[in-house]
Amino acid sequence: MSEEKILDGKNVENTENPEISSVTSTNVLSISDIDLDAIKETANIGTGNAATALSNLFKKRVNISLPDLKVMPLAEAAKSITGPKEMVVGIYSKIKEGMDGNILLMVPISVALSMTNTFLPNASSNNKIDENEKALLQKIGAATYISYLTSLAKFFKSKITFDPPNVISTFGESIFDFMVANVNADEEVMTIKLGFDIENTDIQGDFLLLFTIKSLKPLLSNIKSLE
Amino acid sequence: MVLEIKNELLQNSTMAVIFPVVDYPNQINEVVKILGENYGKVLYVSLNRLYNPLKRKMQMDGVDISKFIFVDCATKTAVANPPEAQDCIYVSSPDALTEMSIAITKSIQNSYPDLILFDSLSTLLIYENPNVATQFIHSLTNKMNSFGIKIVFTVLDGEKEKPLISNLNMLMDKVIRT
Repeated sequence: MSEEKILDGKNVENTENPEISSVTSTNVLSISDIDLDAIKETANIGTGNAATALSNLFKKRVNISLPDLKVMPLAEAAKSITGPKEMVVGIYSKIKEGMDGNILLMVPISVALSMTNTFLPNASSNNKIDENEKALLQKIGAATYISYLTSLAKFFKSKITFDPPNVISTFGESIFDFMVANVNADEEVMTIKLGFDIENTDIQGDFLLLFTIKSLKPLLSNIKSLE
Repeated sequence: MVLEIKNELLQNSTMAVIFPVVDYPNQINEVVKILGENYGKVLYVSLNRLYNPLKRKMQMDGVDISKFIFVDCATKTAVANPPEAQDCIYVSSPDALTEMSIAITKSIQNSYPDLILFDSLSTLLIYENPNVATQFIHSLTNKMNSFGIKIVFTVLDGEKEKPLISNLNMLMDKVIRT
């Protein structure tokens, strides 16, 4: 289990570099070790800001795990992008500009309802996700992703934007299918998984991010050209 | 389990199958396989699995996918404009019940399925309370009875599903727990 850093809305700690596992198949990954080291930074960058965003929203301390980062051909990514053996709700967004990939905040259904009940405690629909709850979850997703991707954009000196988040629902083990939607099957990808929990609540879940290596490479060039 | 489902469907038109939560993915694949082996045309209404990966999985499992047509209520939550498919109608989301009903009717008119697999009521319950879900099930089963089409609903055996599950015996010819 990765070491956790406790972050609250005021004190954002820089996380240490995550362990990276490069999973190779018979094909050699088309990325150098130096670039892999640079990509390690992307796993940290934004983690703190995303946690801060959640902390500011819920007005509580947020625990977040060190990122579990993997680089591999897409076909091998199914094992690292999976969810619990239960129905889950996700706040899903496709990266629109700057890189190719998808981002998702995934929680069990009961946790999604806890999240919405935090802000809509008197809603008559507090045991289901109707339009009000959907809108709220979309806002939570948007606030978190803005924080994460803004940090990435600053690091890469590039504009990165995302489509408005959508609420998805599936069995946890099928979450991979959503994460690789809009991605070509022959791509090499970087996947990042971080666990989070909000103290003194039952709110806990995972951030999942998937980027294509092909779309990251020009961004790495941006950094090198300015060094 | 699959033998029981197969045999009960011979005698009943509407059925609910209750799956244990942790084993749902494996067991639903078994159910899909048995339906493909025993019916000429099956309409798969998927509320939580994407059309393309679902079809690939079915092919890998040796299911004759030429026997299946699909109403996919999941893909459009992730892909705004999925490529058109001759055997699939996309619905914008799992809680778009009117759109879903229209898509089901259209699929029936185009392809004349023998049976509908509605997967799953648990996803429906994320967005609708048990009363609304019950009304929807009632409406759908009445429609299928008028068409002479069998229908199988799947549901997970979870806490959230308990109120609906307690009503299923009144709505279905047969309820099976796997």
